[in-house]
Amino acid sequence: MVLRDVTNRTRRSVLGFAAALSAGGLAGCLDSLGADSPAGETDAIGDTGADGATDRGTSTNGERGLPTRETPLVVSDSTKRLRENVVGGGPGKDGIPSIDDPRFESVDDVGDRLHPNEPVFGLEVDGEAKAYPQYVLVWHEIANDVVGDVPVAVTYCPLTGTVMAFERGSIEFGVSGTLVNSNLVMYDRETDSRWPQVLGTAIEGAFEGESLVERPVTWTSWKHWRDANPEGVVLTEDTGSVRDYGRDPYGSYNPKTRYYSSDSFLFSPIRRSDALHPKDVVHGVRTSDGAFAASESVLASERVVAGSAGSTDAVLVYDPSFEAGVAYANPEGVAVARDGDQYVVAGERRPADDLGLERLPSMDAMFFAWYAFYPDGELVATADDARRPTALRRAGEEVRSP
Amino acid sequence: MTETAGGQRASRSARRVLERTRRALAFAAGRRDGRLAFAAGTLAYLLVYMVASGSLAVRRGLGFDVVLARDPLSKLLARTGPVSFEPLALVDVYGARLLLAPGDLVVGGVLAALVGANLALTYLSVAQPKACGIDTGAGVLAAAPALLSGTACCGPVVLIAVGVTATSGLLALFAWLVPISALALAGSLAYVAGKIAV
Repeated sequence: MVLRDVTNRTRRSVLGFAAALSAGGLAGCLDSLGADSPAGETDAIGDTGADGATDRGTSTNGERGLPTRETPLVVSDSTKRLRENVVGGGPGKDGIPSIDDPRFESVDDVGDRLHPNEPVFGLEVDGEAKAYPQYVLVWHEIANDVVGDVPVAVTYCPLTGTVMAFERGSIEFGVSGTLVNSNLVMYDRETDSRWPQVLGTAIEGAFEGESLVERPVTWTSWKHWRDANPEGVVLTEDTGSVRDYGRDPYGSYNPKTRYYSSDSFLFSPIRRSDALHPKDVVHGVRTSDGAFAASESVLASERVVAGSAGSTDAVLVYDPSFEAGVAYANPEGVAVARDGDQYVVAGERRPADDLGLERLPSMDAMFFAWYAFYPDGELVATADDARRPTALRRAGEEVRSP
Repeated sequence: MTETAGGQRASRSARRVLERTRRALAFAAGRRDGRLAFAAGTLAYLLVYMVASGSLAVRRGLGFDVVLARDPLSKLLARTGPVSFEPLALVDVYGARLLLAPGDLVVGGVLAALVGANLALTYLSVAQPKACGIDTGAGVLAAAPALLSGTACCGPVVLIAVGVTATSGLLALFAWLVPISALALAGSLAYVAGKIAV
């Protein structure tokens, strides 16, 4: 017998496994959810990090163990309406198992496990860089991890194409098995509050109306992340669960096929717009009073797109080294101009990931999901929109169902 | 009084059907061709069910490998869908990948045994001179709904495959596909058993 050679992987003999199964059968009903106790996280609540990742005004909420924003993020619909639009996806609570004890390997040890174009989600906190391959997270959706001594939940929703990291304090997050606007609804294992991932805001439970503190995650390809983070580590398939990793139940990203490219939804969103193809990727940012997004293909060609997320002036730039968007607050309206692969900001040449402005957590999202959550947000759908004064831009127009 | 009499009649009738089905199955089990039909039907359906539910896949380049879940006992009864269970081991055998979930094997095995029994009795109803044997093979179609019951991460596999938007009613139906199949197969079995003169 050949057991896969993965560092620290659980290895048992077949005989031992069979014996365990027999014992399990005799033991009867077991708790299928497993232990909920949080891993030994350190208390890093309220740490905004050197990367300027978190919002202005983080509440410590230490007594409840979960960092939340002092000012919640904008939510266009009432929590009641959102709750009414929550649907069960099929799997029950924790039917999609979060990764609660993630294992990593160094970049050098990855070998040919990852194709150069494989999508990975990069997270860097306080100098520690970790990559979470999409093909692993698609089966788990949440990894409860600690990065740079900060406990975080790295979350991915395949149906909305959104990846986000939230500070989680001493609390773990799990997959509730429900969705709203096709988006993953998480639950926290302390109060069972329900948190749609895109909103980052609880719509039910003890935390209703409160928003989580985000850390920026970069959706990029393995080759880009590897080149930028040779000392980083990568999530392995040793997740605690066994899955047919490598088979994506929704389709493929190389090239985009099936769900990821089709114009159909698995679950109807609250509202729709035809400003863009439903699965086009937009790069968006939200604040406490507004949202602003640009088509990623427009951002890639224009390289700089300025706009407003409510009362916050923001600028989105394209980082060619990751082929990803980056968002900054730009309250002073500092001029940002493309200069080769870099940018000139107030006369100084800077890389996309360090414009010298306040970084805002931002995300890639399928357009239909972004619009369903933020119908009133400013949208740059075309290159013409990007050149138009922000006051003249419109959000995507809602398409009424027949 | 009338209700009691009606209940007794239904009970007697059910016992009669059960006894008739038991005798038909015993008759099939006593014949080599009956056993072969049962085994072939059971095995074929189990394989199709496992492929449809994602438990069995064919992959190029797979060698021999076994990967076990961490703490498998705690996952023994964990469900990943309405009638699907957490796999405890992954076995690669030269081109085939098998995800072993005891719960899925039980569900698939029960359905497959019902399909095999239907097939065996259907075969005998045709092969046996005294049997009527008309339309009895259609009963095996009752197994089809269960093949659609698999769920992926966020929804029914078949809806993802065909790009159909799920309604709440449709989602509720998916949760019942396996029980519906099992009941339909059991009903079909009783019907076919009635066609065989044992």
